[in-house]
Amino acid sequence: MSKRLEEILEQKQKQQEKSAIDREAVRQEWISNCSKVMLRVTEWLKPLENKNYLKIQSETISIREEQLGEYEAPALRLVFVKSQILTVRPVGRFILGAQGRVDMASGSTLLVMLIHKGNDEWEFARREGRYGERRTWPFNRDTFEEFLAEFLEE
Amino acid sequence: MREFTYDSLLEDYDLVKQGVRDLGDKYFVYLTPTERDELRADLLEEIRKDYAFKLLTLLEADIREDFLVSLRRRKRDGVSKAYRDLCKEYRRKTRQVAKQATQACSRMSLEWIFDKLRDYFNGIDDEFRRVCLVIKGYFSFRNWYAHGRTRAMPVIPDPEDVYGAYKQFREKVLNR
Repeated sequence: MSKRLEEILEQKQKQQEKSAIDREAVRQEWISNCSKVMLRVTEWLKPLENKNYLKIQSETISIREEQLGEYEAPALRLVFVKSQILTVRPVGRFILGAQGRVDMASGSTLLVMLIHKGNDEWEFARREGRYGERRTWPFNRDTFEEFLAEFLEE
Repeated sequence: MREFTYDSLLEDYDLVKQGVRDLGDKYFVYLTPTERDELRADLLEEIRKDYAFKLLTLLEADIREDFLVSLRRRKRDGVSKAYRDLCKEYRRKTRQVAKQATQACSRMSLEWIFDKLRDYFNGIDDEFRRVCLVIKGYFSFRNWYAHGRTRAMPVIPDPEDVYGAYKQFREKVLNR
């Protein structure tokens, strides 16, 4: 066996191992970011849950992404009075133009997206049309409450 | 005026298809790669329907014009004679015998025209009989598309297939 061939194979093997480690790291970081955003929403809504205005149900959903394989991520199901339900579910880490996306939906209707901009920074985003740019605005306690009020008043 | 022929439509179809395939990711912001691919595939499918429909409207116009010209000019070829028989039968059935053939049969069902052509080509050209049946099926799609897509979706022909069927129809019927 030639030394050159062995070197190439060894290099390929190392690259594969490194890529598997990187993949695992990206996946863990993404799951951790999802957990943080779910925690944030839970904390904001906890006082209202204590007054029995809603129930916060934590869920685990399964996601499959070509770059990350199949993994489980945290999600939320917010059940309001009159059985209005809002789901907060991660969609994926590999998103065009962002570093992750979480959807807020009611049934099969997507109401708004949460876009991960990196460094634990999230933004609300909504489609203005089917294609092209999306409208974005900050994701914080105030804007989340505004969004929820709009949802509940509909 | 914009050219509106079978060939120009097929060329336009290729161009529009390529345009959608080449759309950059900026048109799919915040979608997953899978969602982007699905959206692009939906668009391509809609374009396929549009162009198949456009080609079929052209073919329908050509078939109807040829049918009426055949009645008006009293041409002596077999297809024209078959068309006149069809019109005669139609006038009798719809009690329009007193009316002129071109007037009474101006709204002849395409299905009847294809059935008559299939009868006529029986034993003469069985391959073309099959083509007539195929084109008749294409018009189920044309009607579904034009009338609000309410019924179950029929089989949707590729524009290239409609074009291929047109070429055979042109050779055997329109250019006779």
